[in-house]
Amino acid sequence: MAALLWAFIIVPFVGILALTLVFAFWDKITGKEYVITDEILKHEVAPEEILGRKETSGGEK
Amino acid sequence: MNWELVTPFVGYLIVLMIIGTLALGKTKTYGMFFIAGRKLHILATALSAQATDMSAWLTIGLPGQAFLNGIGTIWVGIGCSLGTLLNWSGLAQRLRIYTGKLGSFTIPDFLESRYKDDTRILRLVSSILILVFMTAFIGAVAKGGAKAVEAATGIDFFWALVVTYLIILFYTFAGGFWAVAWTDVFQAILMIIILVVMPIVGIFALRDMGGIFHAINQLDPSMLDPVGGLSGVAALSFVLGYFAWIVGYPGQPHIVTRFMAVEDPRKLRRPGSIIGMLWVLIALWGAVALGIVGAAYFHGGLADPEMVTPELAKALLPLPLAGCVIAAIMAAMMSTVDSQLLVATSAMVQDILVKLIKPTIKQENLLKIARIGTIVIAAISFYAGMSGSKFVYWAVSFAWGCSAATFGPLLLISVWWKKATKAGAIAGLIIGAIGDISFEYMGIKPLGAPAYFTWFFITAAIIIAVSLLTKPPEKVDREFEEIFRFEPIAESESKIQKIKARAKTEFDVVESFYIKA
Repeated sequence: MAALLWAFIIVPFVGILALTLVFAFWDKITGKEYVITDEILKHEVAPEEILGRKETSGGEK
Repeated sequence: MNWELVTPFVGYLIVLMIIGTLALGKTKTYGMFFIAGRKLHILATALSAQATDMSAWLTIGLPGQAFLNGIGTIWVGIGCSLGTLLNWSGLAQRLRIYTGKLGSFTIPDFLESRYKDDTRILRLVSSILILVFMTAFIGAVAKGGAKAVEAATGIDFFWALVVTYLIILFYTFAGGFWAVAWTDVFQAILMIIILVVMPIVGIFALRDMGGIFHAINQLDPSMLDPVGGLSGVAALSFVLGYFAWIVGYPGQPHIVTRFMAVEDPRKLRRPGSIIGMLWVLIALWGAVALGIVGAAYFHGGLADPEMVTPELAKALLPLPLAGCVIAAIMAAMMSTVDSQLLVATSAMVQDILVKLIKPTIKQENLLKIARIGTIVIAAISFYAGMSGSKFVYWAVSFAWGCSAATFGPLLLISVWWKKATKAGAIAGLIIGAIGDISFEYMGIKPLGAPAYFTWFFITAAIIIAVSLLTKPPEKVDREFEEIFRFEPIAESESKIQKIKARAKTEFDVVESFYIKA
Protein backbone atom coordinates (compact mmCIF):
# COMPACT_ATOMS: atom_id res chain seq x y z
CA MET A 1 0.00 0.00 0.00
CA ALA A 2 2.66 2.50 1.10
CA ALA A 3 4.88 1.53 -1.86
CA LEU A 4 2.01 2.13 -4.30
CA LEU A 5 1.30 5.51 -2.72
CA TRP A 6 4.92 6.53 -3.03
CA ALA A 7 4.92 5.39 -6.66
CA PHE A 8 1.80 7.49 -7.35
CA ILE A 9 3.52 10.52 -5.81
CA ILE A 10 7.00 10.11 -7.29
CA VAL A 11 6.55 8.55 -10.75
CA PRO A 12 4.53 11.43 -12.31
CA PHE A 13 6.95 13.99 -10.82
CA VAL A 14 10.02 12.24 -12.23
CA GLY A 15 8.28 11.40 -15.52
CA ILE A 16 7.24 15.00 -16.19
CA LEU A 17 10.70 16.24 -15.24
CA ALA A 18 12.23 13.75 -17.68
CA LEU A 19 9.88 14.95 -20.45
CA THR A 20 10.94 18.54 -19.70
CA LEU A 21 14.61 17.62 -20.05
CA VAL A 22 13.96 15.89 -23.37
CA PHE A 23 12.30 19.07 -24.67
CA ALA A 24 15.01 21.32 -23.18
CA PHE A 25 17.78 19.41 -24.96
CA TRP A 26 15.84 18.58 -28.13
CA ASP A 27 18.00 20.95 -30.17
CA LYS A 28 21.13 19.15 -28.97
CA ILE A 29 19.52 15.78 -29.73
CA THR A 30 18.57 16.76 -33.28
CA GLY A 31 21.48 19.16 -33.83
CA LYS A 32 19.11 21.80 -35.23
CA GLU A 33 17.66 25.05 -33.92
CA TYR A 34 15.29 27.73 -35.25
CA VAL A 35 16.88 30.39 -37.43
CA ILE A 36 16.99 33.55 -35.30
CA THR A 37 17.36 36.74 -37.29
CA ASP A 38 18.30 40.19 -36.00
CA GLU A 39 14.75 41.27 -36.82
CA ILE A 40 13.44 38.75 -34.27
CA LEU A 41 16.02 39.75 -31.67
CA LYS A 42 15.43 43.45 -32.24
CA HIS A 43 15.07 45.22 -28.89
CA GLU A 44 13.40 48.47 -28.30
CA VAL A 45 15.99 51.09 -27.31
CA ALA A 46 14.51 54.12 -25.64
CA PRO A 47 15.63 57.42 -27.18
CA GLU A 48 15.64 58.83 -23.63
CA GLU A 49 18.14 56.15 -22.65
CA ILE A 50 20.56 57.37 -25.28
CA LEU A 51 19.97 61.01 -24.41
CA GLY A 52 20.44 60.22 -20.74
CA ARG A 53 23.81 58.64 -21.46
CA LYS A 54 24.74 61.64 -23.53
CA GLU A 55 24.15 63.96 -20.63
CA THR A 56 26.03 61.77 -18.16
CA SER A 57 28.93 61.14 -20.51
CA GLY A 58 29.06 64.77 -21.48
CA GLY A 59 29.25 65.80 -17.85
CA GLU A 60 32.08 63.39 -17.15
CA LYS A 61 34.08 64.61 -20.09
CA MET B 1 -4.68 42.39 14.78
CA ASN B 2 -1.48 40.53 15.65
CA TRP B 3 1.59 42.63 14.85
CA GLU B 4 3.99 39.67 14.94
CA LEU B 5 2.00 38.20 12.07
CA VAL B 6 1.49 41.49 10.23
CA THR B 7 5.09 42.82 10.31
CA PRO B 8 6.56 40.32 7.76
CA PHE B 9 3.61 41.11 5.50
CA VAL B 10 4.40 44.83 5.71
CA GLY B 11 8.08 44.06 4.96
CA TYR B 12 7.00 42.12 1.87
CA LEU B 13 4.95 45.07 0.63
CA ILE B 14 7.92 47.41 1.14
CA VAL B 15 10.13 45.17 -1.05
CA LEU B 16 7.50 45.37 -3.81
CA MET B 17 7.49 49.16 -3.58
CA ILE B 18 11.29 49.25 -3.82
CA ILE B 19 11.17 47.14 -7.02
CA GLY B 20 8.45 49.46 -8.37
CA THR B 21 10.59 52.51 -7.65
CA LEU B 22 13.61 50.95 -9.38
CA ALA B 23 11.44 50.11 -12.38
CA LEU B 24 10.30 53.70 -12.79
CA GLY B 25 13.73 54.68 -14.13
CA LYS B 26 13.74 51.80 -16.62
CA THR B 27 10.28 52.19 -18.10
CA LYS B 28 10.54 55.09 -20.49
CA THR B 29 8.67 53.89 -23.54
CA TYR B 30 5.34 52.42 -24.47
CA GLY B 31 7.03 49.19 -25.59
CA MET B 32 8.88 48.94 -22.28
CA PHE B 33 5.60 49.42 -20.42
CA PHE B 34 3.71 46.62 -22.18
CA ILE B 35 6.39 44.11 -23.12
CA ALA B 36 9.59 45.15 -21.30
CA GLY B 37 11.10 46.31 -24.61
CA ARG B 38 11.35 42.61 -25.56
CA LYS B 39 14.52 42.32 -23.48
CA LEU B 40 13.35 40.56 -20.34
CA HIS B 41 15.86 38.28 -18.61
CA ILE B 42 15.05 34.57 -18.92
CA LEU B 43 14.90 34.11 -15.12
CA ALA B 44 12.23 36.82 -14.88
CA THR B 45 10.38 35.34 -17.87
CA ALA B 46 10.32 31.80 -16.47
CA LEU B 47 9.44 32.62 -12.87
CA SER B 48 7.01 35.38 -13.82
CA ALA B 49 5.13 33.04 -16.18
CA GLN B 50 4.72 30.47 -13.41
CA ALA B 51 3.92 32.86 -10.56
CA THR B 52 1.38 34.61 -12.80
CA ASP B 53 -0.24 31.30 -13.58
CA MET B 54 -0.66 30.24 -9.96
CA SER B 55 -2.93 32.63 -8.08
CA ALA B 56 -3.80 32.29 -4.40
CA TRP B 57 -5.32 29.00 -5.58
CA LEU B 58 -1.84 27.49 -5.19
CA THR B 59 -1.42 28.45 -1.55
CA ILE B 60 -5.08 28.31 -0.45
CA GLY B 61 -7.27 26.38 -2.91
CA LEU B 62 -5.04 23.42 -3.79
CA PRO B 63 -3.95 22.63 -0.20
CA GLY B 64 -7.66 22.92 0.71
CA GLN B 65 -8.59 20.35 -1.96
CA ALA B 66 -5.82 18.00 -0.79
CA PHE B 67 -7.06 18.48 2.79
CA LEU B 68 -10.51 17.27 1.69
CA ASN B 69 -9.73 14.72 -1.05
CA GLY B 70 -6.30 13.41 -0.11
CA ILE B 71 -3.74 11.87 -2.41
CA GLY B 72 -6.00 11.89 -5.51
CA THR B 73 -5.36 15.65 -5.71
CA ILE B 74 -2.01 14.70 -7.30
CA TRP B 75 -4.02 14.49 -10.55
CA VAL B 76 -4.35 18.29 -10.40
CA GLY B 77 -0.56 18.48 -10.14
CA ILE B 78 -0.18 16.13 -13.11
CA GLY B 79 -2.71 18.05 -15.24
CA CYS B 80 -1.30 21.47 -14.36
CA SER B 81 2.34 20.54 -14.83
CA LEU B 82 1.65 18.82 -18.17
CA GLY B 83 -0.33 21.91 -19.23
CA THR B 84 2.63 24.08 -18.28
CA LEU B 85 4.93 21.80 -20.25
CA LEU B 86 2.58 22.14 -23.23
CA ASN B 87 3.03 25.91 -22.95
CA TRP B 88 6.80 25.71 -22.84
CA SER B 89 7.21 23.09 -25.54
CA GLY B 90 4.35 23.96 -27.87
CA LEU B 91 3.95 27.69 -27.64
CA ALA B 92 6.68 29.68 -25.88
CA GLN B 93 9.50 29.70 -28.42
CA ARG B 94 7.39 29.83 -31.58
CA LEU B 95 5.15 32.59 -30.19
CA ARG B 96 8.20 34.70 -29.25
CA ILE B 97 9.77 34.20 -32.69
CA TYR B 98 6.53 34.97 -34.55
CA THR B 99 5.61 38.04 -32.46
CA GLY B 100 9.21 39.30 -32.62
CA LYS B 101 9.14 39.08 -36.40
CA LEU B 102 5.71 40.75 -36.65
CA GLY B 103 6.49 43.33 -33.94
CA SER B 104 3.34 42.47 -31.94
CA PHE B 105 2.89 43.75 -28.37
CA THR B 106 -0.28 41.86 -27.47
CA ILE B 107 -2.19 38.69 -28.38
CA PRO B 108 -4.83 40.61 -30.42
CA ASP B 109 -1.94 42.43 -32.16
CA PHE B 110 -0.40 39.08 -33.03
CA LEU B 111 -3.65 37.53 -34.29
CA GLU B 112 -4.37 40.50 -36.54
CA SER B 113 -0.86 40.55 -38.01
CA ARG B 114 -0.61 36.76 -38.31
CA TYR B 115 -3.85 36.47 -40.28
CA LYS B 116 -3.51 39.81 -42.10
CA ASP B 117 -7.00 40.58 -40.85
CA ASP B 118 -8.08 43.88 -42.39
CA THR B 119 -11.66 43.42 -41.09
CA ARG B 120 -10.31 44.03 -37.51
CA ILE B 121 -12.76 41.38 -36.22
CA LEU B 122 -10.02 39.24 -34.67
CA ARG B 123 -8.59 42.22 -32.78
CA LEU B 124 -12.00 43.43 -31.65
CA VAL B 125 -13.34 40.07 -30.41
CA SER B 126 -10.10 38.95 -28.75
CA SER B 127 -9.49 42.29 -27.02
CA ILE B 128 -13.07 42.45 -25.70
CA LEU B 129 -12.78 38.89 -24.34
CA ILE B 130 -9.47 39.73 -22.65
CA LEU B 131 -10.70 43.07 -21.31
CA VAL B 132 -13.96 41.76 -19.80
CA PHE B 133 -12.63 38.50 -18.39
CA MET B 134 -9.36 39.83 -17.01
CA THR B 135 -10.92 42.92 -15.42
CA ALA B 136 -13.57 40.81 -13.67
CA PHE B 137 -10.94 38.26 -12.67
CA ILE B 138 -8.68 40.86 -11.03
CA GLY B 139 -11.36 41.90 -8.54
CA ALA B 140 -12.28 38.32 -7.65
CA VAL B 141 -8.70 37.11 -7.18
CA ALA B 142 -7.77 40.16 -5.08
CA LYS B 143 -10.89 39.72 -2.96
CA GLY B 144 -10.02 36.06 -2.30
CA GLY B 145 -6.51 36.97 -1.15
CA ALA B 146 -7.71 39.81 1.09
CA LYS B 147 -10.29 37.51 2.73
CA ALA B 148 -7.56 34.98 3.55
CA VAL B 149 -5.41 37.73 5.07
CA GLU B 150 -8.33 38.95 7.16
CA ALA B 151 -9.06 35.44 8.45
CA ALA B 152 -5.41 34.79 9.29
CA THR B 153 -4.32 38.11 10.76
CA GLY B 154 -7.41 40.04 11.75
CA ILE B 155 -6.59 42.92 9.34
CA ASP B 156 -9.89 44.36 8.15
CA PHE B 157 -10.84 42.88 4.75
CA PHE B 158 -11.61 46.21 3.09
CA TRP B 159 -8.32 47.80 4.14
CA ALA B 160 -6.31 44.69 3.22
CA LEU B 161 -7.87 44.92 -0.25
CA VAL B 162 -7.30 48.68 -0.58
CA VAL B 163 -3.64 48.48 0.49
CA THR B 164 -3.01 45.53 -1.83
CA TYR B 165 -4.59 47.35 -4.75
CA LEU B 166 -2.62 50.53 -4.10
CA ILE B 167 0.70 48.68 -3.93
CA ILE B 168 -0.02 46.72 -7.13
CA LEU B 169 -1.13 49.90 -8.83
CA PHE B 170 2.00 51.73 -7.68
CA TYR B 171 4.52 49.33 -9.15
CA THR B 172 2.51 48.51 -12.28
CA PHE B 173 1.92 52.22 -12.98
CA ALA B 174 5.58 53.03 -12.41
CA GLY B 175 7.35 50.14 -14.04
CA GLY B 176 4.85 48.33 -16.28
CA PHE B 177 5.92 44.91 -17.50
CA TRP B 178 9.45 45.10 -16.08
CA ALA B 179 8.17 45.82 -12.56
CA VAL B 180 5.45 43.18 -12.79
CA ALA B 181 7.93 40.53 -13.97
CA TRP B 182 10.59 41.22 -11.33
CA THR B 183 8.09 41.50 -8.47
CA ASP B 184 6.80 38.14 -9.72
CA VAL B 185 10.32 36.72 -9.34
CA PHE B 186 10.44 37.83 -5.71
CA GLN B 187 6.94 36.46 -5.13
CA ALA B 188 7.76 33.14 -6.84
CA ILE B 189 10.79 32.67 -4.58
CA LEU B 190 8.74 33.44 -1.47
CA MET B 191 6.00 31.01 -2.55
CA ILE B 192 8.36 28.14 -3.32
CA ILE B 193 10.20 28.51 0.01
CA ILE B 194 6.91 28.27 1.89
CA LEU B 195 5.63 25.33 -0.17
CA VAL B 196 8.83 23.38 0.50
CA VAL B 197 9.38 24.33 4.14
CA MET B 198 5.80 23.95 5.41
CA PRO B 199 5.26 20.26 4.46
CA ILE B 200 8.74 19.36 5.81
CA VAL B 201 7.99 21.06 9.14
CA GLY B 202 4.62 19.27 9.21
CA ILE B 203 6.21 15.87 8.51
CA PHE B 204 8.70 16.41 11.38
CA ALA B 205 5.86 17.48 13.67
CA LEU B 206 4.01 14.24 12.88
CA ARG B 207 7.29 12.25 13.10
CA ASP B 208 7.34 10.74 9.56
CA MET B 209 5.32 10.06 6.41
CA GLY B 210 4.26 6.64 7.78
CA GLY B 211 2.58 8.47 10.67
CA ILE B 212 0.82 10.80 8.22
CA PHE B 213 -0.48 7.94 6.05
CA HIS B 214 -1.65 6.15 9.22
CA ALA B 215 -3.51 9.25 10.48
CA ILE B 216 -5.15 9.81 7.07
CA ASN B 217 -6.15 6.15 6.84
CA GLN B 218 -7.90 6.44 10.20
CA LEU B 219 -9.63 9.63 9.07
CA ASP B 220 -10.89 8.35 5.69
CA PRO B 221 -9.22 5.48 3.77
CA SER B 222 -10.51 6.82 0.43
CA MET B 223 -8.17 9.80 0.89
CA LEU B 224 -5.27 7.43 0.26
CA ASP B 225 -6.81 6.10 -2.95
CA PRO B 226 -5.53 7.76 -6.18
CA VAL B 227 -9.11 7.86 -7.51
CA GLY B 228 -10.77 8.84 -4.23
CA GLY B 229 -12.24 5.37 -3.58
CA LEU B 230 -14.35 5.55 -6.76
CA SER B 231 -14.61 3.11 -9.66
CA GLY B 232 -15.83 2.98 -13.26
CA VAL B 233 -17.19 6.16 -14.83
CA ALA B 234 -17.09 7.96 -11.46
CA ALA B 235 -13.34 7.28 -11.20
CA LEU B 236 -12.84 8.45 -14.80
CA SER B 237 -14.76 11.67 -14.04
CA PHE B 238 -12.65 12.19 -10.92
CA VAL B 239 -9.43 11.91 -12.92
CA LEU B 240 -10.70 13.89 -15.95
CA GLY B 241 -12.07 16.67 -13.73
CA TYR B 242 -8.58 17.28 -12.40
CA PHE B 243 -6.55 16.26 -15.43
CA ALA B 244 -8.51 18.62 -17.72
CA TRP B 245 -6.33 21.52 -16.58
CA ILE B 246 -3.77 20.33 -19.11
CA VAL B 247 -5.49 22.15 -21.99
CA GLY B 248 -6.04 25.39 -20.07
CA TYR B 249 -2.57 26.86 -20.20
CA PRO B 250 -1.85 27.94 -23.79
CA GLY B 251 -4.98 30.11 -23.75
CA GLN B 252 -4.20 32.40 -20.83
CA PRO B 253 -3.14 35.80 -22.27
CA HIS B 254 -1.59 37.02 -19.01
CA ILE B 255 0.71 33.96 -18.96
CA VAL B 256 1.71 33.61 -22.61
CA THR B 257 2.52 37.33 -22.93
CA ARG B 258 5.54 36.57 -20.71
CA PHE B 259 7.07 34.47 -23.47
CA MET B 260 6.70 37.35 -25.94
CA ALA B 261 8.90 39.60 -23.79
CA VAL B 262 12.03 37.47 -23.44
CA GLU B 263 15.23 38.86 -24.96
CA ASP B 264 16.38 35.68 -26.73
CA PRO B 265 13.83 33.06 -27.84
CA ARG B 266 16.42 30.29 -27.72
CA LYS B 267 16.64 30.67 -23.95
CA LEU B 268 12.98 29.71 -23.61
CA ARG B 269 13.97 26.14 -24.45
CA ARG B 270 16.97 26.10 -22.14
CA PRO B 271 17.21 27.22 -19.32
CA GLY B 272 13.67 28.74 -19.41
CA SER B 273 11.63 25.54 -19.57
CA ILE B 274 13.80 23.82 -16.94
CA ILE B 275 13.48 26.73 -14.46
CA GLY B 276 9.73 27.07 -15.07
CA MET B 277 8.94 23.37 -14.87
CA LEU B 278 11.08 22.73 -11.77
CA TRP B 279 9.30 25.59 -10.00
CA VAL B 280 5.86 24.31 -11.03
CA LEU B 281 6.53 20.68 -10.08
CA ILE B 282 7.93 21.57 -6.67
CA ALA B 283 5.15 24.11 -6.00
CA LEU B 284 2.28 21.79 -6.99
CA TRP B 285 3.57 18.72 -5.20
CA GLY B 286 4.43 20.91 -2.18
CA ALA B 287 0.90 22.37 -2.07
CA VAL B 288 -0.68 18.89 -2.21
CA ALA B 289 1.70 17.63 0.50
CA LEU B 290 0.82 20.65 2.62
CA GLY B 291 -2.92 19.84 2.42
CA ILE B 292 -2.36 16.16 3.27
CA VAL B 293 -0.06 17.00 6.21
CA GLY B 294 -2.71 19.49 7.38
CA ALA B 295 -5.45 16.84 7.22
CA ALA B 296 -3.32 14.50 9.34
CA TYR B 297 -2.37 17.25 11.79
CA PHE B 298 -5.88 18.62 12.33
CA HIS B 299 -7.57 15.18 11.90
CA GLY B 300 -9.71 16.73 9.18
CA GLY B 301 -11.18 19.15 11.71
CA LEU B 302 -10.98 22.62 10.19
CA ALA B 303 -14.09 24.75 9.69
CA ASP B 304 -12.72 26.05 6.38
CA PRO B 305 -10.36 23.58 4.62
CA GLU B 306 -8.94 26.46 2.52
CA MET B 307 -7.46 27.94 5.70
CA VAL B 308 -5.22 24.90 6.15
CA THR B 309 -2.06 26.80 5.06
CA PRO B 310 -2.30 29.75 7.49
CA GLU B 311 -3.67 27.58 10.30
CA LEU B 312 -0.87 25.03 9.95
CA ALA B 313 1.67 27.88 9.85
CA LYS B 314 0.26 29.38 13.05
CA ALA B 315 0.24 25.96 14.73
CA LEU B 316 3.77 24.89 13.74
CA LEU B 317 5.86 28.02 13.22
CA PRO B 318 6.90 30.99 15.38
CA LEU B 319 4.51 33.88 14.66
CA PRO B 320 6.90 36.03 12.56
CA LEU B 321 7.56 33.02 10.29
CA ALA B 322 3.84 32.34 10.11
CA GLY B 323 3.57 35.97 8.97
CA CYS B 324 5.92 35.09 6.08
CA VAL B 325 3.50 32.31 5.09
CA ILE B 326 0.66 34.83 4.99
CA ALA B 327 2.86 37.13 2.89
CA ALA B 328 3.37 34.17 0.51
CA ILE B 329 -0.42 33.76 0.21
CA MET B 330 -0.66 37.41 -0.79
CA ALA B 331 2.34 36.99 -3.12
CA ALA B 332 0.49 34.23 -4.96
CA MET B 333 -2.50 36.49 -5.39
CA MET B 334 -0.61 39.67 -6.28
CA SER B 335 1.62 38.00 -8.87
CA THR B 336 -1.50 37.03 -10.80
CA VAL B 337 -3.42 40.28 -10.32
CA ASP B 338 -0.58 42.53 -11.52
CA SER B 339 -0.21 40.55 -14.75
CA GLN B 340 -3.95 40.53 -15.36
CA LEU B 341 -4.06 44.25 -14.72
CA LEU B 342 -1.37 44.84 -17.32
CA VAL B 343 -2.88 42.55 -19.95
CA ALA B 344 -6.36 44.11 -19.48
CA THR B 345 -4.79 47.57 -19.78
CA SER B 346 -3.00 46.56 -22.98
CA ALA B 347 -6.31 45.29 -24.43
CA MET B 348 -7.99 48.59 -23.61
CA VAL B 349 -5.17 50.97 -24.60
CA GLN B 350 -3.20 49.26 -27.36
CA ASP B 351 -5.85 47.05 -28.96
CA ILE B 352 -8.99 49.15 -28.67
CA LEU B 353 -8.00 52.79 -28.14
CA VAL B 354 -4.78 53.11 -30.15
CA LYS B 355 -5.40 50.56 -32.90
CA LEU B 356 -9.16 50.79 -33.37
CA ILE B 357 -10.49 54.12 -32.12
CA LYS B 358 -7.74 56.73 -32.38
CA PRO B 359 -4.66 55.65 -34.33
CA THR B 360 -3.56 59.29 -34.59
CA ILE B 361 -2.48 59.54 -30.93
CA LYS B 362 0.96 61.10 -30.70
CA GLN B 363 3.83 58.75 -29.87
CA GLU B 364 4.95 60.86 -26.91
CA ASN B 365 1.52 60.54 -25.27
CA LEU B 366 1.28 56.76 -25.49
CA LEU B 367 3.13 55.99 -22.25
CA LYS B 368 1.02 58.49 -20.31
CA ILE B 369 -2.17 56.97 -21.74
CA ALA B 370 -0.98 53.47 -20.84
CA ARG B 371 -0.37 54.54 -17.25
CA ILE B 372 -3.75 56.24 -16.99
CA GLY B 373 -5.29 53.06 -18.44
CA THR B 374 -3.78 51.07 -15.55
CA ILE B 375 -5.56 53.30 -13.04
CA VAL B 376 -8.86 53.02 -14.94
CA ILE B 377 -8.75 49.21 -15.09
CA ALA B 378 -7.73 48.95 -11.42
CA ALA B 379 -10.64 51.21 -10.41
CA ILE B 380 -13.18 49.27 -12.53
CA SER B 381 -11.96 45.90 -11.25
CA PHE B 382 -12.03 47.11 -7.63
CA TYR B 383 -15.60 48.32 -8.08
CA ALA B 384 -16.57 45.09 -9.90
CA GLY B 385 -15.04 42.96 -7.15
CA MET B 386 -16.83 44.87 -4.39
CA SER B 387 -20.18 45.20 -6.19
CA GLY B 388 -21.14 41.53 -5.99
CA SER B 389 -22.87 41.90 -9.38
CA LYS B 390 -24.16 38.74 -11.08
CA PHE B 391 -22.49 39.70 -14.35
CA VAL B 392 -19.14 39.92 -12.60
CA TYR B 393 -19.76 36.57 -10.93
CA TRP B 394 -20.39 34.92 -14.30
CA ALA B 395 -17.49 36.70 -15.97
CA VAL B 396 -15.15 35.35 -13.28
CA SER B 397 -16.61 31.85 -13.53
CA PHE B 398 -16.14 31.79 -17.30
CA ALA B 399 -12.84 33.68 -17.55
CA TRP B 400 -10.33 30.85 -17.21
CA GLY B 401 -12.34 28.27 -19.12
CA CYS B 402 -13.35 30.55 -21.97
CA SER B 403 -9.76 31.73 -22.48
CA ALA B 404 -8.65 28.09 -22.43
CA ALA B 405 -11.31 27.02 -24.94
CA THR B 406 -10.71 29.86 -27.40
CA PHE B 407 -7.21 31.36 -27.25
CA GLY B 408 -5.61 27.99 -26.42
CA PRO B 409 -6.34 26.11 -29.64
CA LEU B 410 -6.17 29.31 -31.70
CA LEU B 411 -2.66 30.22 -30.55
CA LEU B 412 -1.33 26.69 -30.87
CA ILE B 413 -2.73 26.31 -34.37
CA SER B 414 -1.56 29.82 -35.35
CA VAL B 415 2.07 29.03 -34.56
CA TRP B 416 2.14 25.45 -35.86
CA TRP B 417 -0.08 25.32 -38.95
CA LYS B 418 0.58 27.64 -41.85
CA LYS B 419 -2.70 26.73 -43.56
CA ALA B 420 -4.81 28.25 -40.74
CA THR B 421 -6.86 31.11 -42.18
CA LYS B 422 -8.47 34.30 -40.97
CA ALA B 423 -11.96 32.80 -41.46
CA GLY B 424 -10.99 29.74 -39.42
CA ALA B 425 -9.56 31.90 -36.63
CA ILE B 426 -12.63 34.16 -36.45
CA ALA B 427 -15.04 31.18 -36.52
CA GLY B 428 -13.07 29.35 -33.82
CA LEU B 429 -12.84 32.39 -31.56
CA ILE B 430 -16.52 33.34 -31.78
CA ILE B 431 -18.13 29.87 -31.82
CA GLY B 432 -15.66 28.61 -29.17
CA ALA B 433 -16.49 31.50 -26.82
CA ILE B 434 -20.26 31.15 -27.26
CA GLY B 435 -20.13 27.35 -26.98
CA ASP B 436 -17.96 27.27 -23.87
CA ILE B 437 -19.99 29.96 -22.10
CA SER B 438 -23.24 28.12 -22.95
CA PHE B 439 -21.89 24.82 -21.61
CA GLU B 440 -20.58 26.51 -18.45
CA TYR B 441 -23.86 28.35 -17.91
CA MET B 442 -25.96 25.20 -18.36
CA GLY B 443 -23.54 23.09 -16.30
CA ILE B 444 -22.89 20.60 -19.14
CA LYS B 445 -19.84 18.47 -18.34
CA PRO B 446 -19.30 15.60 -20.78
CA LEU B 447 -17.80 12.63 -18.88
CA GLY B 448 -17.40 14.86 -15.84
CA ALA B 449 -14.71 16.96 -17.55
CA PRO B 450 -15.10 20.75 -17.42
CA ALA B 451 -16.74 22.50 -20.40
CA TYR B 452 -13.49 24.10 -21.54
CA PHE B 453 -11.86 20.68 -21.96
CA THR B 454 -14.54 19.66 -24.48
CA TRP B 455 -14.58 23.07 -26.17
CA PHE B 456 -10.81 23.18 -26.53
CA PHE B 457 -11.10 20.30 -29.01
CA ILE B 458 -14.30 21.54 -30.67
CA THR B 459 -12.75 24.99 -31.24
CA ALA B 460 -9.62 23.36 -32.69
CA ALA B 461 -11.81 21.28 -35.01
CA ILE B 462 -13.74 24.40 -36.13
CA ILE B 463 -10.54 26.33 -36.88
CA ILE B 464 -9.13 23.42 -38.87
CA ALA B 465 -12.36 22.68 -40.76
CA VAL B 466 -13.04 26.30 -41.77
CA SER B 467 -9.37 26.81 -42.67
CA LEU B 468 -9.48 23.80 -44.97
CA LEU B 469 -12.47 25.30 -46.74
CA THR B 470 -10.75 28.66 -47.24
CA LYS B 471 -7.33 29.67 -48.53
CA PRO B 472 -4.71 31.71 -46.65
CA PRO B 473 -3.14 34.65 -48.52
CA GLU B 474 0.08 33.59 -50.21
CA LYS B 475 1.91 36.19 -48.13
CA VAL B 476 1.00 34.41 -44.86
CA ASP B 477 2.16 31.09 -46.26
CA ARG B 478 5.53 32.50 -47.35
CA GLU B 479 6.02 34.45 -44.12
CA PHE B 480 5.33 31.35 -42.02
CA GLU B 481 7.87 29.27 -43.93
CA GLU B 482 10.45 31.99 -43.73
CA ILE B 483 10.04 32.47 -39.96
CA PHE B 484 10.16 28.84 -38.88
CA ARG B 485 13.31 27.60 -40.55
CA PHE B 486 15.88 25.36 -38.91
CA GLU B 487 19.65 25.42 -39.13
CA PRO B 488 22.51 23.46 -37.53
CA ILE B 489 23.21 24.63 -33.95
CA ALA B 490 26.85 25.62 -34.61
CA GLU B 491 25.80 27.91 -37.47
CA SER B 492 23.03 29.43 -35.36
CA GLU B 493 25.38 30.17 -32.46
CA SER B 494 28.00 31.92 -34.57
CA LYS B 495 25.28 33.97 -36.26
CA ILE B 496 23.81 35.08 -32.92
CA GLN B 497 27.29 36.21 -31.80
CA LYS B 498 27.61 38.29 -34.96
CA ILE B 499 24.13 39.79 -34.52
CA LYS B 500 24.92 40.76 -30.92
CA ALA B 501 28.27 42.28 -31.91
CA ARG B 502 26.62 44.20 -34.74
CA ALA B 503 23.81 45.43 -32.48
CA LYS B 504 26.39 46.71 -30.03
CA THR B 505 28.31 48.50 -32.75
CA GLU B 506 25.17 50.14 -34.12
CA PHE B 507 24.19 51.25 -30.64
CA ASP B 508 27.67 52.72 -30.08
CA VAL B 509 27.46 54.61 -33.37
CA VAL B 510 24.10 56.10 -32.43
CA GLU B 511 25.30 56.89 -28.94
CA SER B 512 28.50 58.57 -30.17
CA PHE B 513 26.44 60.57 -32.66
CA TYR B 514 24.36 61.94 -29.77
CA ILE B 515 27.46 62.59 -27.66
CA LYS B 516 29.16 64.50 -30.48
CA ALA B 517 25.97 66.39 -31.18
